[in-house]
Amino acid sequence: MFEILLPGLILGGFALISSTGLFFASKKFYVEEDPRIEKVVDMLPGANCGACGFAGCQAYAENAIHKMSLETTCPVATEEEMFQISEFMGVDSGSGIKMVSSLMCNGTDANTQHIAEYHGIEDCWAYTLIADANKACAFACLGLGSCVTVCPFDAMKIENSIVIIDEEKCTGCTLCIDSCPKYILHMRPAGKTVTVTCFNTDNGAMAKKACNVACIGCMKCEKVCEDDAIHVNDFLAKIDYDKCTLCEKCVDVCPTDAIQVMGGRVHVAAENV
Amino acid sequence: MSLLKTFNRGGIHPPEEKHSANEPITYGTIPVQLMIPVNQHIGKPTEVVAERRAAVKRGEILAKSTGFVSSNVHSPVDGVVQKIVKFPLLGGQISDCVVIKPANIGENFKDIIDADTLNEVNIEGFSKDEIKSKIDEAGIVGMGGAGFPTHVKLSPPAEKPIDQLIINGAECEPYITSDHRLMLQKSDEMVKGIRILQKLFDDIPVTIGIENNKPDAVKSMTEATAPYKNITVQALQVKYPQGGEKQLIESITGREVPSKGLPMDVGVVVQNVATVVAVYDAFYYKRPLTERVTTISGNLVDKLVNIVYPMGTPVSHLFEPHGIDREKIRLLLGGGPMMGRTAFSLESPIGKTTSALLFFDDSAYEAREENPCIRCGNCIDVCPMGLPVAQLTEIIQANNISTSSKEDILDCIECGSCSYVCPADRRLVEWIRIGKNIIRREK
Repeated sequence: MFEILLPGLILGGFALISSTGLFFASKKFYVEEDPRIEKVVDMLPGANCGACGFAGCQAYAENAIHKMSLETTCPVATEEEMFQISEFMGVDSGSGIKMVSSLMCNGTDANTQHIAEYHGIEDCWAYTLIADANKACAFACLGLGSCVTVCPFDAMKIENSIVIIDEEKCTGCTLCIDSCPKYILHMRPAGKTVTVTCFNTDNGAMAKKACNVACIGCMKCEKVCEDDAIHVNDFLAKIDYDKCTLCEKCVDVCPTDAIQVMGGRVHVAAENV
Repeated sequence: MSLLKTFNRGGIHPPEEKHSANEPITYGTIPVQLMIPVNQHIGKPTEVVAERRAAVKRGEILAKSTGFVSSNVHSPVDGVVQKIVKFPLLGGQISDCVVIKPANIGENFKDIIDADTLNEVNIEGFSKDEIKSKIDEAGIVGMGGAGFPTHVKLSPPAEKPIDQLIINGAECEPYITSDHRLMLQKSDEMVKGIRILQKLFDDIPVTIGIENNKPDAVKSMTEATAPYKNITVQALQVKYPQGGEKQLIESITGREVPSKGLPMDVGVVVQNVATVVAVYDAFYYKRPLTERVTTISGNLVDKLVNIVYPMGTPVSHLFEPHGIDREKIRLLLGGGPMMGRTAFSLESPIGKTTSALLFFDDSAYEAREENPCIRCGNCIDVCPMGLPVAQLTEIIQANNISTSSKEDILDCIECGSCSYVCPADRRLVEWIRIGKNIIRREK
């Protein structure tokens, strides 16, 4: 009987001593952590994408609580979610306009021609190591899907050798912007659907030769715009989204269909109607 | 074991296919339009000085170098500048090109070359700086393929003494024979060019490295260099990439260029044979670099040639004189099959670094799927730089480049030996080039 009691007592004694030690240690070295951090992390969408500039959702929440400010917004969170967090923290929610990624190209198979066959690695950067362009237009989307690979939200797909972006799924995390070797992905406010789908800065004749739907810099859109929101520089129209009121007059007047309403109707050139 | 010198690690022996080796250098006709790329070198882009509708003379500067690591571009013919356009070069990159309408369309280029007068030059009368600036003005770049400005290579910093000059006549790429023909037909000119370069480094010993599959070139160069004691000819084992700068240095001197280092770190300067002839031309004919010998070969070409065309000749101008059927072209390579680039446009111009143009039809082309690595280790065996190629590509594919593998990736010379032997058709060089690109972007 004693043989079984002795080890029991020894182990029990050790357990008692170490648990007492641990108890005092935990009291002495207690790190006070703000319980609000955990709550904020729970409220965030939890994509852990790092698009806010911090190492992840935890780091973002720590920073927000530490500074008691939501100046850097979580680009993935919806307006409601940001509002909830700001209510909880008792501070103003940042100027969180939802941005989405938008492709400045409409160089589909029908609109421009492929100039070469490619049998290499399916990646835009791999392609740019061999040549600058694979379509007649040197600015066009390569259509090999580096952005599709990098998108964590499954919001992009390749169709007709250009990228199609699902505005519903896009959270505006901006990861795709840097993944594009042609620099033709840009961020725009989610509601502002009028987009110049061209990035060609060549003169009109060259651009038109390269692609049927290229911006030729004809200035018609600039003249028709009543809000001074569209300007042509280097033979390329650019929309100022702060001023654009979505009247779609530029869309109607564009002779080459280079201005499109995304996510809705597909426009046909004015003279063809 | 062969007694010929070679490098220790790796290497392959692809079929040589040097069918055009017995074709003497000929001269082509001047096309209707020349499209001269303004950036044909590695380094800072040039500044275009040619003006629209202005008349230019042969040898006039079209684009000026903008810094030390930059190179002039000259007009090869008399003519009128029509316009400046953007156009894809043979390498695929889009560059500004000066379009010139030549004055003597259809004339043989030989007549124009022969019109240059030969000057007797006393090399002893030149100072080192004068020699370098003359090479700089002539727009001479490394004609082996990379196009690095020659005067930069010839100006090592004072703390790196040079004790060996190597002339690269290995020409290890299949199909190409332009350097081979130069060594046969212009051996005396080449020796005079070597004497100019030797003057720069106080008569250091010079070795001309030639692969042993060109015994006639070895013989002709040995005869031409006989009067000079410190110029020797070294026959090398036939092994690709014998003509790689670092491999050639190891073969001839036994020295190994350190990782991330340059040949000057081991006291060596390497120049291509075609570059040496260009240096000779610049001094004895006062002729800037505006033309080069190009091998025209491939299974679509009726009559294989080593031919001189003025720089800027579009590829399409070659179809009629060489019996090439435009409709049948499936693959056009600028350079050799190992390191050359597939061209994108049949209108792309010939440049300073176009050592060969290879035309192939469907029979020579096969699209292959990339398969998973079977871990045979062939790529590691053949890598002349001793890199763990298979592992590196997996690291790059997973986008998980560590500091140590970064060094390895940057050491790759992109010779293509690994892709050549891979039984799984993996695009090993392509992956490594993506890796280099990722590292460059991180910086």
